[in-house]
Amino acid sequence: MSEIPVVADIGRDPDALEAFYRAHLDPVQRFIARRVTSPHDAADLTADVFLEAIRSCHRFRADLGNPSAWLFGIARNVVAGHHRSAGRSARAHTRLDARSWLDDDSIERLAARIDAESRGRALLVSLADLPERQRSVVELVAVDGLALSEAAIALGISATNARVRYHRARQRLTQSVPTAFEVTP
Amino acid sequence: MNTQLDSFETRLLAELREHVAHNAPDVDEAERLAGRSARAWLAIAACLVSVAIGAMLIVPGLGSSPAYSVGEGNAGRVNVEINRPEDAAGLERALAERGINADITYLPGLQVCAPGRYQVTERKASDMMATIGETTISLTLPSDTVRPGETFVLTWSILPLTDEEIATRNGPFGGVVDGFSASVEFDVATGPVAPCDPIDAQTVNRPK
Repeated sequence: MSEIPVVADIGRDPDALEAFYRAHLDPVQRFIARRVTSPHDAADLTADVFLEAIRSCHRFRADLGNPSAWLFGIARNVVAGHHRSAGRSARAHTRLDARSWLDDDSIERLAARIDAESRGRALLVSLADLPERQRSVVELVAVDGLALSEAAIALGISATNARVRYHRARQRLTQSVPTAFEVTP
Repeated sequence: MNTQLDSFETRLLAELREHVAHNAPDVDEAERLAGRSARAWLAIAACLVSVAIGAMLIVPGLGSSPAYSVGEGNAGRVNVEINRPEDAAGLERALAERGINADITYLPGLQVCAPGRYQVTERKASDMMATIGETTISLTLPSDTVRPGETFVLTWSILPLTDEEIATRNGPFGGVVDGFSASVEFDVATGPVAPCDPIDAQTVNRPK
């Protein structure tokens, strides 16, 4: 099934939005679970990611990449914004009060998902000393499993640039970046 | 494809569907206005951004003359005319004198700021009007458009095109208008606004 026509319509067509949501919910939740430890934060951030996707859908260009990579870019920025806000005070802004919709079962599922991603979080911590420009690529490739070309799309850089950054990071962190992880160009 | 949603995921989907349904008419209206002339291409980026912050009217129009001016209209409205992308700091100061905290960014080439530099206010910025000309922007900001703790964020870039490019170029970040390609974005942000990290608008799928 091609998702390309759906992205352009998710800002105006609820059915298109639902198809997009169902197609990408799991990877978005896993991405977030690797970066937060609170089910409530995970709920809010999941809502924020899809809201931003709806708001930004007109920017998506099918000729420059697939929707998944584009959405990972959004998720990365949303989570980064969350951490910046948390560093200053409490959560600065949530457009949908998603955490208020959580019941016990939902919290349990989110907590289980967060537990399941503990190795990814540990790997993210191990990358903390990398320069931001390198770390951003390595995170998406080695932790989130994107191809280098997809990471480039998510970060808004060229594939060549992503490849250079990743290579340099590997040189600095040969012990931290799993050698077993095969990087897809 | 996720077909088994839990109660939270189901509620979130319902809220998102409602959000889209609520905003869809605004998108259609903005596109209808933007489609009136070739110049409307310039307005498209702004139109689609504007619907995210509420009932905003976009009127493709004409433009001309000096850098910028800021004046007051009826009921405390602030009228802004930007005729050239110069002295962003001066415009910020002029707006600050009228109680509007602003972050104005003019970028060379056809660039946009890397996403994630601020969060858009949840509140509807009603009655704000923007008129997008060929190389000008006119804004009308009602007195309560930007409240304490909020920032009016505007990013504008214009790139002159060659004749060949005019004949072939197009895209969602702006449009071909009499030899210029432009990207215009504006929002009312809540909380801090991070510095702009310019990126090429044409070579990326830019997430916000």
